[in-house]
Amino acid sequence: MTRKFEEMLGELKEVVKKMEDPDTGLDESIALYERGTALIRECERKLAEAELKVTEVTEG
Amino acid sequence: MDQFPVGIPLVPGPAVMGVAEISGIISDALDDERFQEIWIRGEITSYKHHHSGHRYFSLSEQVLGRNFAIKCIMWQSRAQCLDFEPRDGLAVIALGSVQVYEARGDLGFYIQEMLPAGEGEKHLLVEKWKRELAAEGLFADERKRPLPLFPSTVGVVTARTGAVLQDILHVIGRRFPVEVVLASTAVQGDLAHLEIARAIHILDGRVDVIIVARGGGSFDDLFPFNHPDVVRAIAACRTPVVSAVGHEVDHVLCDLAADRRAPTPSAAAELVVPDRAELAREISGGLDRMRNSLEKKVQAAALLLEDLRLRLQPRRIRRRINEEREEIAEREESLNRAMIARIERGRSELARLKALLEGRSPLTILSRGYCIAESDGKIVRSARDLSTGDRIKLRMTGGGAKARIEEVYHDKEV
Repeated sequence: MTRKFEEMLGELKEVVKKMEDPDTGLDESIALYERGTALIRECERKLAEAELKVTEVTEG
Repeated sequence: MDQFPVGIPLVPGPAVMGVAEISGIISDALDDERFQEIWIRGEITSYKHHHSGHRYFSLSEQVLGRNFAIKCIMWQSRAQCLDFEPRDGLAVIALGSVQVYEARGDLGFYIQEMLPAGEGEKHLLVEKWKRELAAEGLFADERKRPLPLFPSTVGVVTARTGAVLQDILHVIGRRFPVEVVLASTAVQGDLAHLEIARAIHILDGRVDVIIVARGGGSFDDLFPFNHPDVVRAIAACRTPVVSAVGHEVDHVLCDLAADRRAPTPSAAAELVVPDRAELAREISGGLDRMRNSLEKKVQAAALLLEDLRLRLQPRRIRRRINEEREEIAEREESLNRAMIARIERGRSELARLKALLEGRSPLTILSRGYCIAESDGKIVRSARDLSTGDRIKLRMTGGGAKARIEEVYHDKEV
């Protein structure tokens, strides 16, 4: 999952940082907020979906 | 010889040294790397455990039927670190230095460290491997790679049975469940190092991070994890490796080659996956921060809007119109003033011209006491125009008169 998860988390951090920048305009902030909440939903979904799976390999 | 006092040779001969002097020379001779900090292998004989705690014995060896021995001294401070009880007949290896006890002239091997021969030689072997592998650069810090933050798959090299695998699965399941790929292997025994190296090789490239793990055990139990085959397999592995062999106090060479060392297998599992609950908190913290900053921006925008609204009020517009009007009125006024002034100027110009005109009028002349004579409707300009008996009209101020010429006379011509 999780390269994608890492990217999403990274993007989320960027979004939050940008939103906290006083120079970011309201319109852009609203768009960022929408993007951010979508990322959060997706991240939380991935976290909730994570499941332990054990396999064994013997061949090289 | 009696005639000569002792110690004062009168004739030249070989130099004679004092005992102290030769003892000093022996000491100096022993201060040599061939005698200092060396390992000696031998069999313990004449072992004495003195009540002071010091140990006195010999290390012996028989070669081709000949017996060799060296006296050994192990002080109590060193002997208390022994993890076995020495006894006669035991083969050991000992680290120490050869020194002379000058008060008695005894040559002894002063021991710092001593191990039973089999195990001791393995220790020495590990030390040798460590030096060699370090020289190859396999333990260099710059080889260490960071572990992936969010691995999708975690490879585990350990025994299929036993607590280690269960501990790792438990921790990963609790923190951040992902796919765990096990490459099971023997973790002790003479051929374990081959299996461990092969398991590492099998997992390399199939997973995002590899844990090489074993539970606690004796030095011998952990020995395969010191083997160069294992160390090289870890060093060659393209996938980052976490080493977790034994307990916190145990150190094996594969720890040095791994990208990270964990004190226990559970700790290794904690190193390789993040904590899901903590991530969830971090993510929802992101939501809070976004909401806060959006709220702040909306408030700031509302304030700005309110300010603009106030500035746009009709009162302001009316005032503006009035201001414009006043300006127009002012301009009108000044225009009027200019116009009036212009008219006045015209009027006085007219009056001046009128006066000028009036100065030229014949009637003006009459008022000064002159009169105008006309004959046959023509103005008489000269006496020559008249003859006696002509009837003329005279015009003067206030009216006129008809007259008859009685006599005409002329001025002398000049």
